Amino acid sequence: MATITEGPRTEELADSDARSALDRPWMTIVWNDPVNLMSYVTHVFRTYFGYPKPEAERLMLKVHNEGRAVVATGPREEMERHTEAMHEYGLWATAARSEP
Amino acid sequence: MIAFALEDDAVVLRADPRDADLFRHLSRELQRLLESRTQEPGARRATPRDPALARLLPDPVHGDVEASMELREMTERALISKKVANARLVEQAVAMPGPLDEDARRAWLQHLTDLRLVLAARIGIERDGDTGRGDTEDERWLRSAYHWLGALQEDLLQTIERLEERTAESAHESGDA
Repeated sequence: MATITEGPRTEELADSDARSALDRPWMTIVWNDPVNLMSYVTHVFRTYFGYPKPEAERLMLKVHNEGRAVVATGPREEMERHTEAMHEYGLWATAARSEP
Repeated sequence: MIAFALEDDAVVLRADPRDADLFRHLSRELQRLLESRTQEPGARRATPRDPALARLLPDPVHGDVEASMELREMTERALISKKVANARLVEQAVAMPGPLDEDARRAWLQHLTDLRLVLAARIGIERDGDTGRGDTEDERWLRSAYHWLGALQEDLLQTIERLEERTAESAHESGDA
């Protein structure tokens, strides 16, 4: 499957707005579930994504309180890989296209 | 009893034969459930019908059924293999308790989660605060296993955290020297 992120970089793409529109069209969302321990979700965000503990805890609380949190944004294939990794950890995650 | 302890900068598993047998029973049930998915005809694209399997192998793409099916077709088999490999590794560890390296600790955490997800689906834990049905003897047994595995996972997470604190302290000390 072709991805726009693997195409040639042009001068125009160096512009940060243009680059973020093309490089970052997808996200990984983690959804709240009643099973996973808060300490475990924080552990996963720290160890898998390498987030510092305060950021991992902030994201975990966002999942818990708001029902979901965007834990990563970037190219589609990378977001799909993160989603699969979250499924390996037993977290309920989906890849989704970012809102325009 | 199954427990985790911090000994000489290592997370060490302890397991007595009775709880090791109980654990092995649950773990094999999970392996059978996962393997049943690979034998389902035409199952590779669709969301599993069994809610426990659907939670272990969720739809990967939000809001796009076709994209989700395509991605599932490419990734589900590998995800099942990893979950089965975790189950086997943990089963071996329970049979021969001792120190757990980083890979083994990750396998334990992931496998404990998978077991809890399946048990939760079987006793109707669907929302925050649900404690699970206990109407029948079977349900009460599953419910106590669910809470046991939760306590076990919390024990492992705390032991890992203590290991990380100890490692950070010794790095700090050697940095000062």
